[in-house]
Amino acid sequence: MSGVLWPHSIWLQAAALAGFVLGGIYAADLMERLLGRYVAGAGVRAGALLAGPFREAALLLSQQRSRTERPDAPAWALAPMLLAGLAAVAAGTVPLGPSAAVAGVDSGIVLFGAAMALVMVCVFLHGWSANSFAPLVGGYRFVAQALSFEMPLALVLIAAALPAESLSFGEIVRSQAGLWNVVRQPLGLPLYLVAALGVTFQGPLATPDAADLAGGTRAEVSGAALLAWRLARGAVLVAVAAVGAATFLGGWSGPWLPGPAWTVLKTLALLAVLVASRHLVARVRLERFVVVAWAVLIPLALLDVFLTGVFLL
Amino acid sequence: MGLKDRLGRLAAAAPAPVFVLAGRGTARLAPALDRLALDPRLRFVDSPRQANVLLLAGGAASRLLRPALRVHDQMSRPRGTVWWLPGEERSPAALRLARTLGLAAGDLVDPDRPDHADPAGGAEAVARAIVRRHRELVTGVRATEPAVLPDEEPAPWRGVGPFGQGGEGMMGGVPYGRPMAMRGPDLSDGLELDRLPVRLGPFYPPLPSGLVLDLDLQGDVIQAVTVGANPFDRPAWRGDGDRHGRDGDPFAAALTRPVPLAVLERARARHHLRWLARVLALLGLDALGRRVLGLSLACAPVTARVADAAEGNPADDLEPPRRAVEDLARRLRSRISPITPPWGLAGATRGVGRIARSRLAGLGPVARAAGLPDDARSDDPAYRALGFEPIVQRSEDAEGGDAWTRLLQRLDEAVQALDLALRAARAGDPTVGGPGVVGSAGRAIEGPRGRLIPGGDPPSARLLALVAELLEGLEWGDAVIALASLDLDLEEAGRGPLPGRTAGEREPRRPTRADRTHRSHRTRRKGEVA
Amino acid sequence: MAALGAAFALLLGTGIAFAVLRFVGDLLQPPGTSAPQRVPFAGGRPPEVHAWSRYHVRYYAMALLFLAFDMEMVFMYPWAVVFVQEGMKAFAEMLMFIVILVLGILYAWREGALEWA
Repeated sequence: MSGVLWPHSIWLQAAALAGFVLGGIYAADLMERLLGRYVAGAGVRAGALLAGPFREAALLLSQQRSRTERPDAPAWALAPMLLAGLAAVAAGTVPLGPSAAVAGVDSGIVLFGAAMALVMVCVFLHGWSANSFAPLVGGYRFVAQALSFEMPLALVLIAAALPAESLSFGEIVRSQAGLWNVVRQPLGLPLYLVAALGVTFQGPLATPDAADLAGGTRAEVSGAALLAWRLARGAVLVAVAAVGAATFLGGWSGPWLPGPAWTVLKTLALLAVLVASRHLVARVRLERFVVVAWAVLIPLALLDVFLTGVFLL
Repeated sequence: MGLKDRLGRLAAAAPAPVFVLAGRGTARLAPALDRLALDPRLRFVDSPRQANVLLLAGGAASRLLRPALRVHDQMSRPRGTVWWLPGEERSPAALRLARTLGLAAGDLVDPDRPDHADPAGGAEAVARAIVRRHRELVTGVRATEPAVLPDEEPAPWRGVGPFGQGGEGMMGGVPYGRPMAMRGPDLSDGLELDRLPVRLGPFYPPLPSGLVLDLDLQGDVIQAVTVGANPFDRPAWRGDGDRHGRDGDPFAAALTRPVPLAVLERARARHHLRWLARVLALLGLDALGRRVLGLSLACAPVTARVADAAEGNPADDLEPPRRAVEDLARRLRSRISPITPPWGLAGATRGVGRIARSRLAGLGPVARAAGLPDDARSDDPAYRALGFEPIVQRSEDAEGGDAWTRLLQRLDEAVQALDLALRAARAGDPTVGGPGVVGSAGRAIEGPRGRLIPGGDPPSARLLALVAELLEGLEWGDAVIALASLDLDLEEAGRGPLPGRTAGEREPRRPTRADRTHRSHRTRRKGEVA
Repeated sequence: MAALGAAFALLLGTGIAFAVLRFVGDLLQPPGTSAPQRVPFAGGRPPEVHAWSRYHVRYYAMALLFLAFDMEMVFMYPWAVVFVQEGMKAFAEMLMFIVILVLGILYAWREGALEWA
């Protein structure tokens, strides 16, 4: 199956990955709008909904890129580029089909963890470079949040690596041939989703770009720079959803449809949960939530690891 | 370029990004502004950088002019302006400003023109003007407005100083035009790092419109607060108490003439729901906020003029919104709601913004949320005839209400208000207030923010006096929620004393400068007032 | 190794793509700004000082705790790979290690290092 759908050439593989990520960004935007309109009780016009992301992208491209008085111009320009690059690397470690990962390293979990850790640097730079009050506060807030949520994220992935005896995502998917990890390790997927919300600043943990900071790190950003930031954010979300699908929902395994189609469906399912949280859960008070992350999530994640270990012995 | 045209056409079809500056007289424009907020052709953004069109709503107060020009210049190109200017605000100064900004005749929309007397209150005309301006800008039909303020650096720095960038020594001088923050004492853990002075202006979206704050921050904790002068304060209007009523406030109008009870209660419900929509948007739940805003529009008639509204409202249209608001209140209230969203509201607001009960007399929902059964409607025979009982939140501790109890309180009051309005319509439409009734026997009108005493200060002015002590020591996110929970309206505070005279015919007390600006540097534990 | 090279190529390629996007945006709408346009937005008043300052990062104690746990992660990655074949011994050793670190979290919590305003 994969030989039919997965090209050999590295360029075509990269193109397929880019299509996957861009399609995921578009789908995530659509799902968020759709749910937003449903919650707001407003009507939905299909044409406007489907064309909406493209129209907004065109609007942003036609707008000027703002500057502030004494920004850190290289860091400000680098932040969205690096964020998108990290998302690409993270998405590259995920096998879209059997032996079909663009960058399927043997220690995929480590590479993914490293990419997610550097997301903190990107968001902080994006906030700090503008040299303005609201983005600065947003950047520093996110560092506290990212530090707290890195650990649960890495720990649940390690728990998934235990039965696979390998850190590669391909092996993890293969180890779920009998039973998906979402059933074998019930604590894993909920913890992963919460940690994913924290690391990708989505929904209730959208603290760096919050409304109570007049837009936070994107308060001084407009035009193509804002488009780049939003695309990069969407790409990170898709990568995180794809990793979650591979680790907990069995990746490319499933009847009738080819492998990559299953990956796409499962990624879309997790994306739906991640973007829906925005309209359903209020933004948390970060000071309180840091305590929850350290006192509740990390012990639960450790419990997840040790329970899995006990059942494997 | 063909690409540019194609992009321009795509961009023109997108919702127009609008940044709203609320000027004088937005109380009358409020229902129409809400309709604009719900309009799918527009998108209200929270930073002028991302806006294409600047909507000036209301008249130009003199202290709002320069901030408005600064915000205008901070917009990124292409920029355009639409001014929603009522006829009575069209002073020569305002028209001169419009010319400076480069507004064409179509960009100045008058909400009072005869053909805008439709129920939408001119919202449609403004929406069309905004969308037209957005399309013209994006497709290049009309040029972007140039910057109005002179292109000058804040301080000369090029070539100044030993490093050529205006700085002196380690941190002195004005590098790149502005000085740098210096160290200062810290309230919470005593580690002295830089104290950042932040000047937040009248148009900062997380703060109530018109609030001017000078803050000193260490990290994101507020160390010192100075509330600036109210830009809506207009000394020429002091003593003209009827200004309140003319600006569309039915509660203040009830101080001088009888107003139907149903009108008052509908306006109260609308007010509280509007407040709730704003708080939900601040907490990230803006889709739910839009739903609540739609509910608020369904509660009250759209014509904001008190005279028209006093001619009676059919109550049949109240039953659906009443049920919807009751359902919403039930959902938001349940702490353990595994099935029905939204989740996390209690966690985001509990414990934020406590004020000691002793300071809250006569302050309406804020006082009742703290457990004080202080409601002027309990003394009114019309309300008593309908079976009115003041709603009070049970406070578990002696401290007083926080943002969560205030949210619950306003929700409960909105449900109660719609209930009362329905009952009033069925009981023959009693009226409340009037010059003889109010003031005698100590009766006053209960406004949505607090008790309205004839000749006294509006409740917003009293709430404003609490701000400085409330914010000191709070972390930024908590400060924004605490401020929002107070429900400040600086325009109401700036209109001066309420109309009518007390029984003793005293001269109304004019608020002095000392009441409005309050500098506070005392070391104090976080979040506690008095 | 080829996979790691592919990852690096993905990083570079995406970075270049976004740089091109930025360039295209600059072509469509030139970024030339005037001094009043560059003033940081704070609601209509100009700022008093530069925002860059020695920001009081109140969560520094929590950051130290994070460092300790990060070092634990470094050990857990290879442990996960060899766990099944090493069996009970590996389980017990990692359990001891984790318990010590969890005591660290408890201590930090009681000392208030996790609450920082």
